[in-house]
Amino acid sequence: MIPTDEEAMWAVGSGDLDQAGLLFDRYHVGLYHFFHRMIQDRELSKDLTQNVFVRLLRYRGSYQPGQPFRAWIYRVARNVANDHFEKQKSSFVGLKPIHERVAAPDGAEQAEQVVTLQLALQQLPQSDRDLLVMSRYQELKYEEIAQIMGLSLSAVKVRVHRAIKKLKELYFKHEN
Amino acid sequence: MKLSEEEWQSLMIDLIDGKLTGEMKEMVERQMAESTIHQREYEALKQLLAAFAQPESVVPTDELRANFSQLLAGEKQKIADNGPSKHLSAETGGKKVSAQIKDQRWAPKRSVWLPIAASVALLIGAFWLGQLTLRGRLQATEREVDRLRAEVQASNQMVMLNLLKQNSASDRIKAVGYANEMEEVDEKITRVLLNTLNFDPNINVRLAAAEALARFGDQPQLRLAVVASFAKQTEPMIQITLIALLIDWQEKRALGPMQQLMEDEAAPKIVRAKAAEGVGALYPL
Repeated sequence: MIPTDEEAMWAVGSGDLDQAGLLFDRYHVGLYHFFHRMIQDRELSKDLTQNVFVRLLRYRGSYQPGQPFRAWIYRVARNVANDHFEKQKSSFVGLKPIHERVAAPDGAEQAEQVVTLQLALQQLPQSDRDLLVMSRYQELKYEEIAQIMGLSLSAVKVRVHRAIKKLKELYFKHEN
Repeated sequence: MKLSEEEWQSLMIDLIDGKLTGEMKEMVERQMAESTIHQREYEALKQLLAAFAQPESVVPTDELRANFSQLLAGEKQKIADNGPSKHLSAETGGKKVSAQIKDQRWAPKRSVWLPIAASVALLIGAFWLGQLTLRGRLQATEREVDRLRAEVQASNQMVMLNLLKQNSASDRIKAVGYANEMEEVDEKITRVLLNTLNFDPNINVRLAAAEALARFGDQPQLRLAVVASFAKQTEPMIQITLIALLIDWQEKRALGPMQQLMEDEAAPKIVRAKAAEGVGALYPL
């Protein structure tokens, strides 16, 4: 039987490190997109994705059996991103300006939508951006986001909907 | 009904996400039709949320995988180097260390011994029974073997059914795993697996049940029950797993629900694509 994420991670915690390869296969693209949608920087997204797996191996003993793995790994990813932003603040090393970072895909109308959306997203407070990336891009359920952020289910829903409202105003300001 | 603007927007988002049904959906649609402001608001939200659906165009380079392989190899090396040395002390002789390495290597997999011990016990039992046979008690022995087998089967079933009642999802996953180890599986077990697939609150347990059902493709009634279950599923991972299973079984009765899912605009794109794949694979040429 193919192991579930939880079984694979439990095996990693028990010393069977090869199972980490399985988790890398299942999650590295999603995590890379998670970071890329948040910061729009390929190189940095690669480094941060790598950091998630460094932490997965380093803190493998802290994983509790039965803990939903997807929520666990995205919580690690969020911590990795937060640490990065903290470091950035203290070292004054900023990202490139947003218009240089947002890569437009092919197709004029789609490209315009994607760029407008990215510009609007980047102007949201980070916690709102996190919520929207998790719920709308990564398609994590409110229940999972509640576990990741330590909030109640209803609080997550209210926050996501409020973030959408703020985003909508920014999006149409850019579009016009 | 008087709603605040925030509540209105929240309902519109739920409507776009396909989360409203029945009377609530009708009420929102009816009230929206009466207000051009709400209609405009709805269209704007729809446009915004559709922009999220554009697929991510960047993909990670191979460098990420290469770095991970290196990281993993390094970590394994660290375990190989440091693991035993933790136990090293002035009093520890070389022989002891190698014994500890052996211990360490086997410790996490100690449960491996259980089936081995069981096999040995079974062998000894079989040998003893063989002796009896030689003494001319063939029929009695065969009856005894059947009885033992039935007992083992019954106790396996009991363990499985009891584990399934546990609160912890990992225990329930273990329970489902038992079904894979059983040589003979009766209707009671397949029914329990189906129930687990349909009603367990944890998605990983439901997924494990879906995978465990894969070996019963030779039972037409069970296949029909899986088709019915598939039609009711809403969780993308379960839908994808069941599509693969139904393709594997070449279960044509799944064509209808698969087609429906393929056309369901509220379903995630990946699920719709998999359903389309299923329709292609099952469609009679």
